[in-house]
Amino acid sequence: MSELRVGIRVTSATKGAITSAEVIDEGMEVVRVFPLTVGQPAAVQVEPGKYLVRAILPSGRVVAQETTVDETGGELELVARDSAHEWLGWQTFAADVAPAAEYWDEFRRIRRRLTFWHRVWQRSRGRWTLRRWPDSRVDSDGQTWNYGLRGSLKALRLLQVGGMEAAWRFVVLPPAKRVSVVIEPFADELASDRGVGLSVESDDRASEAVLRYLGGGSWGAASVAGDELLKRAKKMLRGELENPMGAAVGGYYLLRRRAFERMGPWPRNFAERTDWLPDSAVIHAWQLLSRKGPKAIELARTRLLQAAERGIPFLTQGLRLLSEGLRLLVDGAHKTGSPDDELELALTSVRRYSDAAVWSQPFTTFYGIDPETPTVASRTGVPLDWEILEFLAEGEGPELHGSFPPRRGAVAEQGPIVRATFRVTPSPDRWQVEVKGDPAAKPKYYETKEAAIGAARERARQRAPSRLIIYKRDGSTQDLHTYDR
Amino acid sequence: MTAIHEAGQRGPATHALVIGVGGYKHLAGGEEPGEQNLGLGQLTSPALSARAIADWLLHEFDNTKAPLGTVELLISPPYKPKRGRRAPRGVQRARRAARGVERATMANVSAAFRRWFDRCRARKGNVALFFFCGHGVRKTNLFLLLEDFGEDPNQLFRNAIDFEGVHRGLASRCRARVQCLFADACRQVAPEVLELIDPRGESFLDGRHDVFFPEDAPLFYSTMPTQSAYGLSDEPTLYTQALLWALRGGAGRKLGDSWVVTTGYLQDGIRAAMDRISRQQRIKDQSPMSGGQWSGGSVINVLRREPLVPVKVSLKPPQAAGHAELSLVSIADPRCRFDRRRRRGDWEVELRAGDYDGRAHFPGGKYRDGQWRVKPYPPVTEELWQVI
Repeated sequence: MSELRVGIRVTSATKGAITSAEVIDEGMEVVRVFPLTVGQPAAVQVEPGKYLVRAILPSGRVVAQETTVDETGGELELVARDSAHEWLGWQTFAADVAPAAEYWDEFRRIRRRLTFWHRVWQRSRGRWTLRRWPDSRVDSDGQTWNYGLRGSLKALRLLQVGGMEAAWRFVVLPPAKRVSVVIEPFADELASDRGVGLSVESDDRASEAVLRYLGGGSWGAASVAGDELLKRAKKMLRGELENPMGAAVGGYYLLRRRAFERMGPWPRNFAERTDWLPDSAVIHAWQLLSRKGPKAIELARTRLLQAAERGIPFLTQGLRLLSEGLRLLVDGAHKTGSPDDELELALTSVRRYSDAAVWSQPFTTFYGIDPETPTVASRTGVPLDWEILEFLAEGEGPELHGSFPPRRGAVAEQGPIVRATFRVTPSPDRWQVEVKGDPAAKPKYYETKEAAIGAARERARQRAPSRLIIYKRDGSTQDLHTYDR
Repeated sequence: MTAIHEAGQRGPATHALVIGVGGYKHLAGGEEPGEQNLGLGQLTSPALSARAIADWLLHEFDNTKAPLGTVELLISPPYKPKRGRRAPRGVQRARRAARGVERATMANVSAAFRRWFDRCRARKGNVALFFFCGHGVRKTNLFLLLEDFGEDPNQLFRNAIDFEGVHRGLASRCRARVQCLFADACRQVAPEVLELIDPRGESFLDGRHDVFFPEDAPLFYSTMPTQSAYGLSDEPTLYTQALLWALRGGAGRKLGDSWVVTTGYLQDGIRAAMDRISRQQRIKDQSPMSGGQWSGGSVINVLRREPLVPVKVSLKPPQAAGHAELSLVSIADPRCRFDRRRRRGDWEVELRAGDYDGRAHFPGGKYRDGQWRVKPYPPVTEELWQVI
């Protein structure tokens, strides 16, 4: 036997991602299957000879190269297709964004005015409250925006996105140290996107890869990557929790494999140590449901109710399992003639999210008006509660790279600009004009809407670059204008 | 009777239930269209899809560990257009595909399901295959609509199959070690359905959460939730075409001496085929997905020879393609040769898995001739030939 060293090179953004690799001999037989981590070459033992070495990427694409191994061994580096930008490296690897050739083929800079906005909610003590947009970095080429923000490992957070032509929606942000949010406005060729393409990734590349394999149905590759993820997560299985995202992905992977024995007591520990995370309760509930006996059912019931109380599972798979689990127990209770009101209430609540969910996304995404009002009908426009709300980053030119939110007065080359925001809103018997983010500027009142709009327009022009939002009397958004220098 | 094949197999066997519904009695264009039709009408592709799957099973399927035991086939072709109008070609083809086969009403499907279930559960080594093509509507679960869907407007989903419910029931009641369920149907959400609190379709079996028999129980969907599934009017659906391509070798791997298609890599093959077909048809809004539980290693089909592999050859720099005479010659059989002369763009060709000698010759001398070894392997092979 000789040693064949295999590496895989993508972009720096993909370092740590686990792929599934295989060695195929001259007879076309698959002789080795092994996990291959980006940035960490692997060594496999093979007989001297000629081989085809392939890696199946989470996107479903395959990279392959032939090599010859002699008595002293062999070495090979697989190279994955380029992304359009370094800052879209992971997204291309995970197939959230097209590879360079296709990306540029379809590239079209957004020339229409931008009306998209985004904001963050956090769950605390059973309620969702708005949070200031975390300090982040933004990169954009005029078609795609990529925000890199600090994540939260202690609380559930929601990203909300909307616009004049984009249905409002929410994404549960994964509990990771850093999170990327990719926004593609006017992805209107895909009716399912409803005005804006949105994807979220965490910096936990290993878990993300397993998630993508599972989501894509690449079971063979998922087995290889998933087993490798669990091997690394020994600490997790012993009860020490450092990475709730990795633990949750590992847990769902084992549920899919129905590998309940491998789970051991870990799911219980996970659920107890992360009392803010719905997914940990869901995973433990389903481990319990695999067992027989009333005690297991009773505990599963408790966990499912806990999950519903904690909020919304961050993984789409978790929402599905929560909904299924509650339904199973509700049906069971009906069959025994003892309906369970608490379970039915929880199921009704969770169903509202299921009905509004975007099931094609790995992280729970749903349409809605606010976190407590999921609805597939959703809404468009700009919310009235605008204080902690950021509009999509804009620059002087189509490309921009820099810190976000932009600081007033700060000048960064190709960085996002600050655009003053005015609005015309109804008050009980008049109309008022307000300026966002300027506590010194008091609202001004006008008898008629036309007068308010005229005054607001004048001020917005003077303060360009600026935007003006006009609301209807019912609080919905009528129009949004932008003014440039 | 709906069984079109009964091998009388004694040992482990593969048993298939194939359903194609293009004719809907109570939807638009049907014999008795109702008010609650969810905006749906007659279809031509499902009959052709179901027949194509059945034909593949009868004439190409091979699995020595679980040979073909039975095939139950039910097809509802689209209802005829109004009197005096000649049926379009797609409708004529669909009606021909349904000849000699019972219609997919709930009564007929229930009976066929029971027979199929009894056969599947008889032996642990059995393989259960379920394929449906027709209208689908999603609430939390996916409902597969049978011919008499909408018969009772007060219980709209009485004649619809709960796809995930069938999966759960089968896994907890049937000993067959492999249970693959395919749904080739839209998964759109109809507003009228959203207003329903908890619609129930037919699962045929009660599911249990504490019992699970199969080693492999994957679910295959032709599309993502809220997306549509597309078909051309006189052909099997795009998904069925992709599925058949994958079963015929697009998802193939060589294990030991045999090329096989396994549950672990079937979806990879389907996705690759769907990518190609979608590009050709300029469709962006259909992405197949899968779910369920799996071990990944179960063989579904054994191929009789090396599979065909789509190969894409790109030149770097791309403009060299316009000056190049490209060739791919099988090393095992030099008579098997493919050529392309001086054409822009990538070269896409289908080759049998194996070894090929690839060459780029530049008669004008603008670039240096080159030679490469090409080894096509499923699901797709992409070659980048760098020329100087």
